[in-house]
Amino acid sequence: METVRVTTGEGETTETELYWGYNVNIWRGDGDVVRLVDAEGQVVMEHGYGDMEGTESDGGTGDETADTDDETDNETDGDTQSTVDGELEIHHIDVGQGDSTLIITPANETVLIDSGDWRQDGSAVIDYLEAQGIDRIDHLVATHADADHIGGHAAVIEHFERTGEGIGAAYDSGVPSDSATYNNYLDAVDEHDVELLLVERGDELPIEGDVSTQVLHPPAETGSDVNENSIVLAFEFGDFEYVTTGDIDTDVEQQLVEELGSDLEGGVYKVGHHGSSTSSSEALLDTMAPETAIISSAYDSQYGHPNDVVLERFVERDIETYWTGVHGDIVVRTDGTATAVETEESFSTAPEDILEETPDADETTSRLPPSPLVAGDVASGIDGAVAPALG
Amino acid sequence: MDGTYTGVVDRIEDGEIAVILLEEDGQVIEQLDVAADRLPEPARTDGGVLSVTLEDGEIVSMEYRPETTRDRRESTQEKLDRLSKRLSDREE
Repeated sequence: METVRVTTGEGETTETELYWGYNVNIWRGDGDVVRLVDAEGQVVMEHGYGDMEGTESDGGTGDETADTDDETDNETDGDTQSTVDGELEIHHIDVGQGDSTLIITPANETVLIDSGDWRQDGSAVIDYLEAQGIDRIDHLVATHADADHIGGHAAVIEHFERTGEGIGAAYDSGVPSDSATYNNYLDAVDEHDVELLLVERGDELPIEGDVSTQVLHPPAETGSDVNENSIVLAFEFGDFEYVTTGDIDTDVEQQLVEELGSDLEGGVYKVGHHGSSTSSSEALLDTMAPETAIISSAYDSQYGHPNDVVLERFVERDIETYWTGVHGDIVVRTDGTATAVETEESFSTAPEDILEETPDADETTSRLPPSPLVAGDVASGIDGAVAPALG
Repeated sequence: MDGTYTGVVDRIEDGEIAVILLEEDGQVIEQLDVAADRLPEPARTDGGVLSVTLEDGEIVSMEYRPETTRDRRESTQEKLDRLSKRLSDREE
């Protein structure tokens, strides 16, 4: 009787040892079956995960037996996917018309994704973090350089570097903005020697413990468009999945759907671009198949966020919907199996009720001009029309 | 609010509303939301730095500043390059 040793890991294949060359745990859960097949495609033997005896098939030559080596056994002993320790918290801070999300990991690391609009200069975010007793941001992410996402970055860096334990590292898409807001953020990074890291698809944020954070976008070679190159992150903790897409538009969503497919699946979707019609395409929603959607925008968003079209898509798919405009701060807590959402204000989470609550499209259009500072009727170098109606 | 300010097109929301940030001494002091088709070219498609003149709080002119736009983009890119490295190149 000959013995052949089959290993999922890497090594040099010999007459009696076969290596599959995977450097990740591939042999890890119920339902995984290894089949040994001869040159004619005949199954020689079958071995299910957890079934230590193995099952010899009737056909085939029958003079080979499979064995597992130490490496494979170690994988067998490893945790299954859903057993993780502790609790993951995701706080969607109500910053009005902007974005800011605080994640607290079971290992007690903090991740701040965006920091609100420039007008708040970080104050809403800093107050919220202080109330949580947080004195350090381990990972500060700028999904992209717009002033409603990085508006508090400089102030947050200054605050935690001066009065707290500082910033572990900052992460950026690498596509700069012309604004003073962006420039001030870079100056704060410079002044306080914050490690600034550019991320691209395939990276994983170096977060401790059982939380995995994959960077799905942007690609290594970005163009110059700030929104299109937003950082897209997929968090996984046990069975819990959370995807946040910055301000990417439907073209980029389509690209991700085509290239990533089921890797995009996520139970909780942090809605792209504040619920704008530029994002949350049907293709994205059908691939991601979220059960819960979370929108961050002002109740009286001057840009008409969230858009009715997007909310109607949520209605069609029966997606539980949260909106900072009505719910205030929205906190998702999970132990990797069960997930609970707490909100500052109580309001229905049925998307049709949110749809009912947002101004309809006509009202939104009539809002322009939104401030007394627009629409001069004497204009040079520009079209002299007074605030043309949009639609 | 009166006078001529440096204004930067921060973004265009949903292809319709341009968000212009007015600056004084390197700080943003005000935001103007205007119909995107009121922007001078090439800011309408590519953003950039403008001279924005206000009278009684209303825009009376917006002028695109190509050299300032180019200089600012170069210096910001240089700063970003100097301060950053790729996560995948990090040694730890």
